[in-house]
Amino acid sequence: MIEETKVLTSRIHKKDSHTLESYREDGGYEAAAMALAMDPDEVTAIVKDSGLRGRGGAGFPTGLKWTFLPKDRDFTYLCVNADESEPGTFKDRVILDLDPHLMIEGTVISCHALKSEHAFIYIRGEFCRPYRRLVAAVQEAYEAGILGDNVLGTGRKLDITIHKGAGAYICGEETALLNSIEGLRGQPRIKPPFPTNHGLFGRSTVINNVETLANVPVILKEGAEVYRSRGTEKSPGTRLFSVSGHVERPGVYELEHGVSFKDMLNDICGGVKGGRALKAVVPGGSSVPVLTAEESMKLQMDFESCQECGTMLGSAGVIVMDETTDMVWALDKLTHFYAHESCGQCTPCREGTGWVAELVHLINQGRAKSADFDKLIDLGTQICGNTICVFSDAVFMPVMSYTTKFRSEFESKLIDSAPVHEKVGA
Amino acid sequence: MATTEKTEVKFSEARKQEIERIRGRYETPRGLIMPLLWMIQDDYGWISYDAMELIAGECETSPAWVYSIATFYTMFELEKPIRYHLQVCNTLSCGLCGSESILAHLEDRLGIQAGESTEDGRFRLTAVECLASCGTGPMMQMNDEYYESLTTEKVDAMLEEWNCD
Amino acid sequence: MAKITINGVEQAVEDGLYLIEAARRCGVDIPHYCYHPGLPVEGNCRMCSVEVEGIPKLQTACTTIVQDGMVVITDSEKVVGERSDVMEFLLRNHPIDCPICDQAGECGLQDYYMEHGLHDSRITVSEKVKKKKRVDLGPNVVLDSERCILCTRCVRFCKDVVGTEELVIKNRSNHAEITTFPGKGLVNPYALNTVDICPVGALTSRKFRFQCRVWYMKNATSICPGCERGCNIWIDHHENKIQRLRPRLNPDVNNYWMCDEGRLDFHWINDDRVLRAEGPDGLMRPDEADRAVLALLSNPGDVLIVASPRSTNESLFALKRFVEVALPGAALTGGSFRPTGDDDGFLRLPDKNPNSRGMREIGIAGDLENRLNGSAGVVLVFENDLLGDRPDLESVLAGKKVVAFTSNRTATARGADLVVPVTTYAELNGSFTNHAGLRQEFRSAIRPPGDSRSVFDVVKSLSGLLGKELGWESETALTKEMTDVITGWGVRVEEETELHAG
Repeated sequence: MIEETKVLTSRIHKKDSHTLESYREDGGYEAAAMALAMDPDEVTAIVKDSGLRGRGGAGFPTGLKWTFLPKDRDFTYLCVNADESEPGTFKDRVILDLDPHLMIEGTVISCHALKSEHAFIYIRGEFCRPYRRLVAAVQEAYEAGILGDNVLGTGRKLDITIHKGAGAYICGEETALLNSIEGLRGQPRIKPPFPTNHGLFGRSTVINNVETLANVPVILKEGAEVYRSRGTEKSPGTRLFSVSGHVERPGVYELEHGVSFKDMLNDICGGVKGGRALKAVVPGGSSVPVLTAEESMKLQMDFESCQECGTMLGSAGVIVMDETTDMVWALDKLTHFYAHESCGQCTPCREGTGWVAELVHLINQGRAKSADFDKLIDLGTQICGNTICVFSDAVFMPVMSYTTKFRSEFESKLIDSAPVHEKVGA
Repeated sequence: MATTEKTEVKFSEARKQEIERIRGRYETPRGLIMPLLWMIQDDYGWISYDAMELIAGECETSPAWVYSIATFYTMFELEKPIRYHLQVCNTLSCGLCGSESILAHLEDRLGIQAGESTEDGRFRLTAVECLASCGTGPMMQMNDEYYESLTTEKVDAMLEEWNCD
Repeated sequence: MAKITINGVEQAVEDGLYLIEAARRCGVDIPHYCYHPGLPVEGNCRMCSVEVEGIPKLQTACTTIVQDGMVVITDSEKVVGERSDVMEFLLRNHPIDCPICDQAGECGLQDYYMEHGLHDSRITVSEKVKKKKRVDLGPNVVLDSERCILCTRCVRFCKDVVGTEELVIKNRSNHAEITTFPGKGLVNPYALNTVDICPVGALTSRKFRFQCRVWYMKNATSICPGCERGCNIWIDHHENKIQRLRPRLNPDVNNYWMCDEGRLDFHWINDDRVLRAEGPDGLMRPDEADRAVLALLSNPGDVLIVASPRSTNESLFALKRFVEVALPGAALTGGSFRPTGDDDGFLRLPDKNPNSRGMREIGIAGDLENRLNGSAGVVLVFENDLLGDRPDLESVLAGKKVVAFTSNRTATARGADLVVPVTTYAELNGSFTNHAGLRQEFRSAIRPPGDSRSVFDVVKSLSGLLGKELGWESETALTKEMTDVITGWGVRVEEETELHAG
């Protein structure tokens, strides 16, 4: 029987955990005070040594990202990506809502490491209570001298500006996020140049996810070595898993990287809802390839194991689907989402996602022919790889994995397919 | 969210001070567009064309540019506000937990389809994409608040309360 | 210089160029929609994706800057396949209304479909996203939203070239559309350039819509006579009528652009022309007209010749020589009463005449008003609508014999004793010297209507009747002498090739 490893989430069940008073009672901002006494490069080195990988989706090593900043930069921004929008992912919302100071402390430390005097927090517009709490927390931090012109009495300067999104999944893409702050349409930018060289308002910029930054105080406090003792070699530390769908106890759980999916499902989440059989699992947010029940039973929840399994850990948004799930219906839901969220900039994505969604919907409604299904498969590859950002890949992966792994379900809904099976309702 | 019928859109003195406070945070005037759109929406409940022109003036940009930004995002209300805007998440995780039946129930109870408003202008029902509350699905957002782990009974109780309001 | 290899051929190109431009200069055209050399790059259409050695993903040639040693393939199976895919996507929601579309014949979708598409349609018409078919964007431009491929050239033109920013994209995903702010129009004075750069039939000119199929038209290089900028233009004509004017690339003058005012000011060339010479006794043949003029020239000291900054250098040079050689003693002046405009900081300049500087450099003085108020009893007015611009001059001219050499039935022509038709700039080879001193040549586009003659021919004929020689066998000889004599005029501007709009 495995249990949660509460490192980041140790405080979230406490009363008023979102307040500065509560945070300080648990040793809040001690790591920041410690870090600010150190040389910025030393802080970066510790984060690098910890092996911390980005929690937003791509899993890029955080410390390494920081070292990409040019040495001769004149001004540096840190942008905190709190635009959590990947379907199946809701862990940043928990931090923002229940322990915003943890992330703010991570921001203070990281800004010191990056020699940044201004951080933007781009928070998802729909997060109403988390937004209110974040605003209050930042206000508290200013009043307590944690932010402002004399950060923790060190004479250093740091401002945090909270920028509220307004309903656009694509703004979670880091360059779209920058454009959104700049008052441009939230469309991804052509890279290169990369944000570390030419980011927000043309300045050197690092963009980190909420959970990523929440790890930073922990790393500073316990040191890289202790931090690395949890998780796997290539995926150190714990992870906030958002578990949803057909499980007895959905929710956000903090577990060490490398935990087996099976244990997580059974021990932590109480197994599949109603004791039904498992059919499919999305391990890392809706954009990653779906796994069959069989594949998922061998899966360990870390970056490299997921990759070996032909999928990705992504944002660790775990969507569980039981035997009653109609996989065509499930893909219909997802492709509808992507069609709605394409920024509309690049031709293949703008036109392709809408087309894909229509075809999937047509199949789901039992109004499609096998030629439509063939077209859908073609579109999956046509959309991919010729766009400014990876949104098109995020459409491609579910389309290809659902249609490949659950092909018969699709075929059975085609007008001109062989025997039509009874509809498997969800 | 106020439904005040004001003919003239303007920033209050307090807002003006707030704008001056944050202006320095954005290196270009355009950066203020989203914060100002939010201010208008918070104060008036929606963003009229007059408001967009007002914002354009503050941000040294064309009204068309502000319009482009306002229509890119789904949360900016470009029509007059509705007392109760029910936004039911209909993406996969909530779908797996029965969001479609909640949506259908609401359509039934309110006598409208998703995307429509009731004739008395009190309710608008929208099917929206993932609201990052997947662990507590099905869920919806009513104006600024999340309502989670919905059942038809819970929905009925809410409608009861809001109808009496 | 950077050495790059395109499709196996090594070439040297300028540093800092975008690959698409570098390839074009090497003779390799890479298909594209959103890229336009006069606009900032956006890389959204994805049509120009090519293979760059060492990079697994295809790269858009419009956003990739050439680097020394770069190896590029623009015609591999992968590239060609991608192009075909992009075409299929672009046509996904595009209406099939080519038969009624004005862009037909110069449409990027039609052209590239023939080259890079040619796939069978897998789209049923009912599936297409419906959008508005006729949106009046302003006085001059009409938008068909369904035809738009959202390349944003027009948006970037208004934002980055003119700075007015009236066109934007509203919404996102496949509901994205070009629009103005509700209730406002595309009213900038350069709006029609968006029609030129629109690679499809989404933006059309209200004036040109449904007027003429583009494949019937012939075009000639010319210079806009609308102001002293001298924007380089194409005259597109059909059956000896001008159908439209379009800007012609000249990086030193107008780049890819021209103003709407200049662009739309051509109907006077097609309509209301003076076709025959006319005197008190009615219509005259050209030779009769010349003799009638001659009859007024018996006392050169009583003759005032009024030149115009709307005339070509060649006409002015000939006129000056005519006075010197054939009519010594006559006064020659030049000038214009045309109302001036503003310098708008982009193309439009205050002086609405195309050749004021040329006239000055040729040495025709601009003391027009004084001269008119002088004692001369005979006034020969060449291409100058004195009364149209200054109706109050009627009393000044009242006691004088006036001969109007004019292309149109102007107020001056109506008040003249003798009217002699002459050509417009569209009907002759010539040149204007713009405000910056650049002498720009142009070619005749259409045939002169009726008895219209060039000023050169008119004064040559009059000289002959007076028994004098101007000294040139042809206009070419005139041009040679003129450019030899006037400093700086020997430099001829290179003629640019076809406007790079596709």
